[in-house]
Amino acid sequence: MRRVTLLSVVVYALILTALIARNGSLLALSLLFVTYLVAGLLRAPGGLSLEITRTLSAERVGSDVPVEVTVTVTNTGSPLEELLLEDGVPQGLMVSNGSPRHVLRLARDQTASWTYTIGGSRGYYTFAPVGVKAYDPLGLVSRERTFSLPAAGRLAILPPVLRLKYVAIRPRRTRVYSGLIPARVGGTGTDFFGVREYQAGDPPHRINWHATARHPETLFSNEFEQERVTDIGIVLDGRQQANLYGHQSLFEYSTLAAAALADAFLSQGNRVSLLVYGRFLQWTLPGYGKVQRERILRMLALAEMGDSQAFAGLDNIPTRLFAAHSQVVLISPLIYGDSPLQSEGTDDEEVLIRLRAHGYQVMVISPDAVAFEESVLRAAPPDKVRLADVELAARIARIERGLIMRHLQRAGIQVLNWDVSRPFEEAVHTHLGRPLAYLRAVAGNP
Amino acid sequence: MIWALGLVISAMAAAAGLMLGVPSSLRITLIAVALGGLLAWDLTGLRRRLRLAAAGDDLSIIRRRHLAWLGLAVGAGLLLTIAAMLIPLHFSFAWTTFLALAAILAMAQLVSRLLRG
Repeated sequence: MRRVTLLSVVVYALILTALIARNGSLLALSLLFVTYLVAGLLRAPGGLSLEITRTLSAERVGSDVPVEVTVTVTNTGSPLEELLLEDGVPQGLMVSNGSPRHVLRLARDQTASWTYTIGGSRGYYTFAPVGVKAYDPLGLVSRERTFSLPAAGRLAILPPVLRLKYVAIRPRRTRVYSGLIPARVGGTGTDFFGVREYQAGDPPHRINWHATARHPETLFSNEFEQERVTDIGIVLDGRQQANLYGHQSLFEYSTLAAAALADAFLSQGNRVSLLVYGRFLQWTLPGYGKVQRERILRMLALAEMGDSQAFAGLDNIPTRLFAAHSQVVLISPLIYGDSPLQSEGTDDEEVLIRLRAHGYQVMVISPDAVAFEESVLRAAPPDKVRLADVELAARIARIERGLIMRHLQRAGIQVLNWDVSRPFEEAVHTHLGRPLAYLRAVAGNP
Repeated sequence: MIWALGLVISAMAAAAGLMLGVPSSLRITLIAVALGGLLAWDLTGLRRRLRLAAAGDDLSIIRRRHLAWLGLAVGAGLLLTIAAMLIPLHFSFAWTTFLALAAILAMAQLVSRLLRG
């Protein structure tokens, strides 16, 4: 019950009782409460006329980087005896220093300001309006209002970007601009590509004397493989069913991998796009350079897991978004086996092989769901589940997963089975950082 | 909640004592009971509101102004109450009823107007 209501009830009850009992002393007693009530009501706060601004020390930061929020309030109306102000810190952000809530007195034209520090994990956060509650000096009457601040109300916490030295990819088609991706075309470059008949203008140091010695009538020159930039489409799997294991999720690891790969590909000069495939499709148009890096990181900050009937399987990836014969990188723990959401022909493995058959050079970065779930179960085994059972189940699941990976590799798909307990850059360096000649020899790409 | 109950009980206790016609010397005790309930309720409300403040907030000015205003209100109320008890005014029942109803209506108007701002 509100304080003013309670006190009014007491006053009315005393007066009515005094009337009924015809008792003057009771009426006199009620004066004590009446005076208190009137004193509070006379100083009740009028309309709240405040000017509030909020400034953030940064509007985009990395994960767990502290951000200082400064709120300034100026009272342009009548004096406010007791004011409770609370800034609307978005859910998911933690206040590490200071407080978003303050109690103060503000005279007319007086300004108050305070700063607090927030931080949090990856996400795109929107601040709620500032809540204001003013009281009279006795706290009987309150006035509430929220102030929506038009600017500086958003904070993007970007995923951490790991620096990858080199990621070896070999798409079937490249763009015309020079870069670092082998183009399967002879010309100027660093890697040996083949031998052709000498042409006027070839520098003498390119002449292949061994081949020329076998054919005395003709001169032969070495040819090198051109290196160009290419189109790369990164697909981040945001399906809840693929990422969620108990209460733990692999999605943050996938996001981390997507950010690192996008950064590595863009710094090599490639044209990169990002598709987040989950509850719905989120698509960043292909682009180059730092602006595109920023776009992709902002989309990754927004990316969330979710489920939808339409995108239960990977078969609805809109391939027309990717340039023909370009490189597609899928980051997904993968769904396979007898998943209840999968219909005939929509198993992730089949979809990837189909994508490869359509001419895309496919790379799969797959956070190891089996190792992850095993570690989760080992850390907190459910009731009535023995560790030996967990171990056995993990062995069977690992064999099944290994088979799937091998099928994908046989279909010409580059696969990185990433145990998330290992650093991503280490896994990439081991499996994808090899020289291209080695990859050509081992992977048998056409 | 418990303090609201305290306010109601102390007011009821004082009212019951006055209705039972205690001797004049004890009336001041009954008024003190009602006053104590009111003060306890008020100060608990203040403490509850100030508990929401941040660590570095300067609450001394709020406390000071609250206590000053409370002292003024309670002092005036106490004076009026004691004066009304000591100075006997005789009205007929019709007049008393009329004045009391007028006071109730005026109070209701005042409260609703001030609440509406």
